[in-house]
Amino acid sequence: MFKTIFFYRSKALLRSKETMFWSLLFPMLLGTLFYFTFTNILEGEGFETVPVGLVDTGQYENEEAFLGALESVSGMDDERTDEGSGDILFNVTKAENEEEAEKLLSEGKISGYILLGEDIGLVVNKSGYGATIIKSFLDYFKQKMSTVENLMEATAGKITPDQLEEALQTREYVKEIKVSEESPNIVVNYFYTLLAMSCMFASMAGVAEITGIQANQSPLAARLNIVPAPKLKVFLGSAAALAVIQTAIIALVFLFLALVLRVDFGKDYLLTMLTNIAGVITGISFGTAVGAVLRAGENLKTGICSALVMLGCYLAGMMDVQMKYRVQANMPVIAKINPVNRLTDAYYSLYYYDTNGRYWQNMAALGIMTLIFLTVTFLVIRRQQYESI
Amino acid sequence: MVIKVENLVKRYGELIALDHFNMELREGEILGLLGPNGSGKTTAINCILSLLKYDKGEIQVFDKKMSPVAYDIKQDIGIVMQNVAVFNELTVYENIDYFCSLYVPDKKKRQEMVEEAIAFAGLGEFRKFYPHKLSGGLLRRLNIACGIAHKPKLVILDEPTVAVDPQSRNNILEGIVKLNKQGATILYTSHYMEEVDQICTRIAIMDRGKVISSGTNEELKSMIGLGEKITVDVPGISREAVEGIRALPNISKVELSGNTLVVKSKKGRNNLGAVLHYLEDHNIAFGKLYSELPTLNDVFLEITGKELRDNV
Ligand SMILES: Nc1ncnc2c1ncn2[C@@H]1O[C@H](COP(=O)(O)OP(=O)(O)O)[C@@H](O)[C@H]1O
Ligand SMILES: [Mg+2]
Repeated sequence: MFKTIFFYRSKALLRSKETMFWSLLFPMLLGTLFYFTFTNILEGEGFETVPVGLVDTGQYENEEAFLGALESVSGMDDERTDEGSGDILFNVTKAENEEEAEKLLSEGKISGYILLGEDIGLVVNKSGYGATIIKSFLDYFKQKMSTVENLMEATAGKITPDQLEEALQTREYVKEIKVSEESPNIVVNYFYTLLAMSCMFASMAGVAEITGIQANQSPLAARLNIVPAPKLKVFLGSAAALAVIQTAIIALVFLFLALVLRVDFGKDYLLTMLTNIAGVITGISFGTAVGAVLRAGENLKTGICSALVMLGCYLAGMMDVQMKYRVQANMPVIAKINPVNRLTDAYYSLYYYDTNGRYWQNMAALGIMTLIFLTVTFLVIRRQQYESI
Repeated sequence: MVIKVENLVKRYGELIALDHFNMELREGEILGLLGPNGSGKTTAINCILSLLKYDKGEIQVFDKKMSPVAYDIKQDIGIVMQNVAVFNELTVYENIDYFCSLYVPDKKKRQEMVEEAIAFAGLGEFRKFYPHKLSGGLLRRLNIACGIAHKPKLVILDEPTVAVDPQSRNNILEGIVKLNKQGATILYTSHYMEEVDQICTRIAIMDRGKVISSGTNEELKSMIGLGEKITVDVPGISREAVEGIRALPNISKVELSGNTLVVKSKKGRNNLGAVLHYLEDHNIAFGKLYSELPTLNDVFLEITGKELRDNV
């Protein structure tokens, strides 16, 4: 019985136009779109460090801290370092005044200049990779400063130098957005969220698995409630088919991204595939939990489910990578429990780090989420009779 | 006893859908559950199948208490639901095979059963069709084939002929009789009295959540105080002639409106011959004439004071 259910459910899924569109075609189209949007960044502006101007009026109260932070990621013009070496993000040119900086900017010698007045300002004349990097650095610094201020307040000024240093850490940030030889890390994140999204789209089919055995949801579900077998058995046969088919589809999306669009996934494709499988299973169990918990029609459940996935994608930086850092800094809990973010981070870990510690952390988090989702699902669908169908 | 339901009460919030519903289905019967829309037929079936919680009552199937986990009982039930329940992405053959596989694991045995079901429902030339390519009638036939392929001892059909063309309807009704001849006990619900009249060995008439009367076709009809009803066009019939007909034996009522004379017979009596003789003997010219035996609608009308069909 399990075999037949598995077999026919697989057939049905492969024939389902929705599955093929949302899981296969849509991610490929979006990936292609990303590809053309980012080729400029990937190939066009092939520089590694961003030339940036600095006008320091001496009015900024945290001047020292800022210059320190900037210095730690820059080669200042007087001690120019070799391009591309180490963690150098900016090539800073100090300007005497705004006019001079403006001139450098209009001549294209710098991507923008930082104006240290009473506050930190940024002047750029066109958007682009350089401007984005400077902007994100400034945002990052401001966030750190407010953290420090909060810390000061909380400890009534008795902050240890160690604490301060940790709060002002910029190394980590530099690592996050460091520009590597082949492609800027910032860009791969878009493709990773995309793949994570495709995995999590399995949740919509997961909703269907649940409504498919809830007698009050459809005539077909009612029909499956009077077969001589526990509905858990029917569910497992069907969900197993879904997991296998979705994994195969994700493998195709992955290969398309890696081989056709040449997105860098690091070296260990087997672990990337494992991540895909984990993603699909998390997606399906997320869908079944949503389907089981919500009391609504199937369409509404599916709608809510896909909206949640898209929200997860947004928070994981699919539309704007800065979002990811903002969430990480301001709402770390959300970043931790957002499965899309966890998946994205898992792909990223494989790509970026030499050791897999962070990768397995993400995988463990996904495993725990899946367990929770499945427990919720089973607790709800165990009730077998309905007041009304 | 194949099904025994005692004092079943089911409420949907305020609404009492089943109000001390009682029913017995004996082996070998085709029991027709006849009632207007909303009388509680589907609710009764869903309770019998343990799909719905109910407030009160006892339900036994094959002399065992029915429950959601009574898989041994479910094994022998074939169900054709009121709403078509098939997989849209599977073909006719695949759908029947899928449902059959839930009852019959053996692949070879199943293959024969599926073929038989396809032949039974007359779906031979449509086996590779997807459900959305089938007409309403064929879809219903597929729904039935999915329900009965595993050769269950008890077949429950909930309004299987709603919205089907006459050809499919006949196919379905004949099929049900055939299943019964092959040994299946059948519970059949409908709000079409003609169908129930035609195929059922026993009938239970339902209204407002309970069975108001049950018995064989003849038993039900003889319960009410009506016999044959004769309607005849008699232009220019005389008052004496009307009185003469009224004086014939076994006549309960004679009414003349315009040119149309309606003659109602007493319970269980037929008077067509006597009326015809009278008209001929008295040289009364007559036009269109027809005679009707009492129908289940008359039975329903007599018990509830309303028409079966008007309640749709
Ligand atoms: N899920 C439900 N919720 C509330 N009322 C219902 C529900 N299903 C049926 N009813 C009501 O219960 C009564 C019996 O319905 P039903 O069993 O479908 O009748 P039938 O099958 O004879 O047409 C009707 O009045 C109907 O409106
Ligand atoms: Mg009904």
